[in-house]
Amino acid sequence: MILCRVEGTAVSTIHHPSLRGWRQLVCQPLNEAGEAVGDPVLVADALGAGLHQTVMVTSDGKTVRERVGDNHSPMRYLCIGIIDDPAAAAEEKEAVA
Amino acid sequence: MKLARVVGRVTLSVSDPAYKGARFLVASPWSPKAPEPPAGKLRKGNTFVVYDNLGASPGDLIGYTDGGEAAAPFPEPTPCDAYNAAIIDTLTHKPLPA
Repeated sequence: MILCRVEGTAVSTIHHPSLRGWRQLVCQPLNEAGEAVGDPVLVADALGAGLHQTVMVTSDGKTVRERVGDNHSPMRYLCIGIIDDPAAAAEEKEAVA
Repeated sequence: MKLARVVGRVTLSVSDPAYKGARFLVASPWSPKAPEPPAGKLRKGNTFVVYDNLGASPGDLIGYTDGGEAAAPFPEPTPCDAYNAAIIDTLTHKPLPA
């Protein structure tokens, strides 16, 4: 699984039928230090990740095909987790306290 | 899926029987860092051929899938490395200000 930062969205009307209804995010893969590595990729997202959030993405085709429910789906990247932002969590704690 | 700009087309006269009626596009990887190549010109990066049955034409931005997943959409095992999964209409890309 790779860490990515959400940097935009992509809209497509002509696509493979198995992509129907899946929100496509433009995500920039990150290394452990949080710096950008390589070029952005399109990630299918069902969790509603927001802009500039860090997400956990799986690139295992088999898992994605099972999740999509179509054994012939060309989809590869799927967002499976949204990483909590430590700074935002700290602000929330102060706001509550 | 990865992003690429279609810069041309490929027509085969002799090909693998699995490619009967197939359409191939020449695509150049899209990168926010590198400037867009002028229409029809290739960028220095690796340019590759993408199997396409969505009807993309040169100038379109496509979302293609490479590697093992590219051979998934075919009913029987087919040698395919890059498959055009989506033609991108609008792409909004707002990176964090460095």
